[in-house]
Amino acid sequence: MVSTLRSVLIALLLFAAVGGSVHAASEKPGSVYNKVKFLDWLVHSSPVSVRIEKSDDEEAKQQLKRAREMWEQASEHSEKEEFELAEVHISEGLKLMTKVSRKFKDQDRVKQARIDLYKQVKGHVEMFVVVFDRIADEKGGDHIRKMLDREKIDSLMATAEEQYADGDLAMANHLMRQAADMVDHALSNARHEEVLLRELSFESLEEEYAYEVQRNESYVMIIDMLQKKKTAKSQASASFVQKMIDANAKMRQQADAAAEKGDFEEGIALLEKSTDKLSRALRVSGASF
Amino acid sequence: MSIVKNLITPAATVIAVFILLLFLVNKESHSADPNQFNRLMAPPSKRNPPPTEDGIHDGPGASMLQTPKSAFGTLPKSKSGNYIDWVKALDEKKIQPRYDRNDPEVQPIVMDLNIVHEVKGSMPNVVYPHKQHTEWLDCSNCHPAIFVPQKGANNITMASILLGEKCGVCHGKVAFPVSECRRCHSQKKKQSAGAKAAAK
Repeated sequence: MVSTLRSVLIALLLFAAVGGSVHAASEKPGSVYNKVKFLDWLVHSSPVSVRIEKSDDEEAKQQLKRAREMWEQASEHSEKEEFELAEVHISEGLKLMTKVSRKFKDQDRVKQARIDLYKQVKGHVEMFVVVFDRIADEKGGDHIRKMLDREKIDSLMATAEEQYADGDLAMANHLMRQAADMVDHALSNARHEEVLLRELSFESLEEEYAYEVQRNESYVMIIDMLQKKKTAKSQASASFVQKMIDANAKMRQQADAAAEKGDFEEGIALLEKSTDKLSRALRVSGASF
Repeated sequence: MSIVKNLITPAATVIAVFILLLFLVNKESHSADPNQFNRLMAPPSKRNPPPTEDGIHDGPGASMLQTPKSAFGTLPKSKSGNYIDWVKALDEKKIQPRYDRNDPEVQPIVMDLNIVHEVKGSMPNVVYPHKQHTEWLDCSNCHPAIFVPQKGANNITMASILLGEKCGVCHGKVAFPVSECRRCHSQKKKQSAGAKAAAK
């Protein structure tokens, strides 16, 4: 009896101790420990610290050394639970690392990122100029064409290409971005407050049948997803959903058989009905209609 | 002998409780696959986990990021996704994200163009508003990789969206999930004259 009571008491004390430390870790001390850990990574094993160590830049090496000292002190203070002092050293260490890392960018990575961006923005300009021309043709008016200064676009792009060829990627990107903004503005003005209707039209019954199959399969996928999440509110709802799924499967088979025989009209009619059953199942499954 | 017994029993209990607690504390709650589709349909206990547990952020800096629960407190609520109405938050200037990382003055070029997609069946037509998307994104985020900017060039189906393509590249992952049918299927269909007569 005594030993059982003792066990319970010790267990409770341990629970309180662990619980307390978990709680504490989620508040300020926890965040200080995380910052110390982050600074540790930054000054000892981050790519920028490796680049500084490999360099001949004595000033940068000194700054890294100072940042490491800041980490050491922050670490010591956090171990002694002097969190405010730890924060001061973390902040100083982070500032030092931010400053020195600006000088030690990964130049290869920066260059590749600029090349990728340039290609992307150039593609953007070329594509949207074509789109703009199409809109102008569609609307058939010079007032639309006037929205885009083509000469300026061509000139910006040509200069950007020259800069790119000369290796000034920053300038090349800046110019190409200007061209992109001009095209975007023109498109935005040309389509301002418009509504474009994408009508549903099929060139053949076979095409419409394919559309119905996709629609039916989409419903099956959504219901399957909701079933996995167990969103049906009751057993009765779940069995209704299953009944509708079974009915759909049967009708889908009939529709496929009709389509195989070339009777797409019958196939479409059957799929419309079976998808309707699935939409009833969807409502019961909890999809927000 | 009894002294040994008295020591062993509590020690065994303590070890058992400790192992149990360690298991509970260390149990990972995040999904193994950060791109798992519709991960935003999580039950309440698993919604908006901290960056270190969300399966998206990694690296030593993740633990220093602000947790969603503390960041979302003052933002307008919605009924799905991560339960924040981001469009409203932007409209009400509760958030003011920089359009350009390096320049706080740059403003987005907003395209106020709606595209309505007709659909068959009882579902309303789909309305795609460029405005709400371009207030946040650049044209090149979607064009041409996800959507070709040309009429009839995109085969958008619910199946493709559910498989994480087209709208599903974002919706269900970082934007509201597709279980919110009416958010997109929002335009009532015009009744034909025959249907109106039948309804009367």
